[in-house]
Amino acid sequence: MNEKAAAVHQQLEALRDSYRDELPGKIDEVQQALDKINQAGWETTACKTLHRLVHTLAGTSATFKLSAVSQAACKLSDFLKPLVETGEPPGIDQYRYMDGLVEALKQSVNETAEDVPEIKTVDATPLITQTKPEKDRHLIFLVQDDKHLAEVLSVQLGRFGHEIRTFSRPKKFLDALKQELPDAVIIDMIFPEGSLAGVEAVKRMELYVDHHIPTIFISHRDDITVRLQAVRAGGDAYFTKPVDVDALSGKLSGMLEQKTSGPYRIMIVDDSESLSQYYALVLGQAGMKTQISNDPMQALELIEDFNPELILMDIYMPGCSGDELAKIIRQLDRYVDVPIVFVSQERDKAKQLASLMLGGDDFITKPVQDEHLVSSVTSRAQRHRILRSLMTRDSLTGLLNHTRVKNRLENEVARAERQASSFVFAMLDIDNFKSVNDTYGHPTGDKVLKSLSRLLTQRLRKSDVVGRYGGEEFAIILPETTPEQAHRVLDELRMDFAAIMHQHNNEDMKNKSFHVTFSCGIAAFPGYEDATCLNDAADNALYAAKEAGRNTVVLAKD
Amino acid sequence: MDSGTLQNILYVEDEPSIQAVAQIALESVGGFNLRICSSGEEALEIAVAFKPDLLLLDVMMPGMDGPATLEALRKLPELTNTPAMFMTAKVQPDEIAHFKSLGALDVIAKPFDPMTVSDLIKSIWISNFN
Repeated sequence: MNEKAAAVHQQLEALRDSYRDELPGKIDEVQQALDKINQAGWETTACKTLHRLVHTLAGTSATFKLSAVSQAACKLSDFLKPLVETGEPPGIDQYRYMDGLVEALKQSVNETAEDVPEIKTVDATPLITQTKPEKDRHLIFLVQDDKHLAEVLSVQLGRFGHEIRTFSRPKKFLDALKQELPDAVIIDMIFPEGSLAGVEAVKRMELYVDHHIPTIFISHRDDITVRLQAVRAGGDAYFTKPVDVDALSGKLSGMLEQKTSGPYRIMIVDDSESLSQYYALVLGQAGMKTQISNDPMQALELIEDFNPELILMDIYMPGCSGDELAKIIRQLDRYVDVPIVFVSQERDKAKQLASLMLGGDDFITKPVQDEHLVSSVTSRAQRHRILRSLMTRDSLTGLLNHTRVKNRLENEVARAERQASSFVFAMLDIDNFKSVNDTYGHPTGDKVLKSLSRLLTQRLRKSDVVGRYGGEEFAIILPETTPEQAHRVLDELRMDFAAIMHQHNNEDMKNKSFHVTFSCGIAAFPGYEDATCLNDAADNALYAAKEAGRNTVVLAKD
Repeated sequence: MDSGTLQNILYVEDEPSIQAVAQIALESVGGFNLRICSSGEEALEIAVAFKPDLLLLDVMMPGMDGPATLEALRKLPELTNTPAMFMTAKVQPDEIAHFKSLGALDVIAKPFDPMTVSDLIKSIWISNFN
């Protein structure tokens, strides 16, 4: 080695040493950037900064042949890259994986700084094994040229477990449709291409696609002309700016549930076999699912099983007339809002009105015309679904609300009785939630609630029912589950929730993150008489969990 | 422009440690006349006066990144045709093509070997101007 090369090597060695000394400082920078994101949210600038810091760290340490650091930083940089590009915040599992990567990076720096001779490779495998399969997540196409609004919507809606893909222009959105169809579309009205570009794009979408994709329009305009355009283009909802994100999220959930709920379920109660089959045929061809009952006396039981969204009923039947049956149906709280459409030869308006007073919503006179039947039924069933979902979701978490959960519990009890199957009801309560709110503020408390909701919806099955029962109380119905299985799943969730590092922005506190736990009581059916007893049993088990020291799952003893 | 006139290199890189390594690599080893800027903005201020033969730009920087810096430098009449090269960790063929389409001769992969990077730059220079 000649003199010059030797001198160069010496210089490089000196640089390497001084860089090694700088490493702890670089790690602090990375940690600070990460803290900033946890406080302020995963908006793209903060995320880009973090990615850049880590990317640079990877590159520079590689230049100085500090391979442990470089490898760890590379892994983290690769992990962050897609997050920066999509603007999507990481899910719970990803968060834990990222924490693992950051820890690994810190470790590699510590070891390098102490000049440990061998280069350790870093193992940063994910700590969580199960997530909901990707196809359970709804894919939403967001077409929005306002970058800031797009980010905000993407982050917020992402928290509810949706996968959001953003397009800044209608053309990009239409191109993407050729590859993949979303479950819903959120699109602005106005683009540089034109003040109705959003509408045009949706109209074109309807041409490409053979089924209706739920669509939400966003615009700063609120006049009827524009709203009419939206309706004519097939829009299902319209939000004006500034967008109420919680409301939009609720609407979206409702629309998606509509979608996953499948075809409208129509119950036909008519003593004439041929007529009822005729109605069923007409409605079936229009894409609806039907259930016939020719005996009004049996109709109630069938209604429980079928859970109709609209009941088509003949007025004059032996045994029990249509309007009497309607009255009985309305006695049941669960079905008080299900639309009932009477079909009859009765042409006398006064008598028709009288029937309506008894619980009917509409009247169709025989002979029934196909189109009239279909359009009446469709519009009522559709509106009913929307109303139902508006009434049934908690706006903060997107979970079912208290009333809905209780209804579902009753339904599940009835179903399990008839089918002789078993299920489990669980009640969760966040421990010391009041002190979380007092110490860190209500916005942080809300984040904790959202975080738990997300964990529950992501990890439980599609068939499981998750609801927000009260302030910090959640309820879960696990169909086709044994108490042992339920205990295992919920205990795992308990531990995972406890491990989550929640971030707060309380300036006075040194430690920027905190942990929260929940207590859980579970009760299994069969084992109790009815929904109320089951509910009480789970409640008592929850109480026992609290008494036992919290952060635990207790099974009710029957 | 022939291969003999690669002498002044304007180097834009924000990370001080890399600046130091590049200085050793390009000045001590390569014999070039190097002027280092920590940002695109700084480069815009001093570039014209320095009369660079080559613009060497790191891609990932806070504020103005490499491509943005090149775009801005190219707007200066004296630098419209000055050859440029990017330095980046992204070296997939389509990424290289992308950077070339922005007006760069080629892309230098990071991390670079301080002992050989000057030779690499010289050979890119020669292959483009002969």
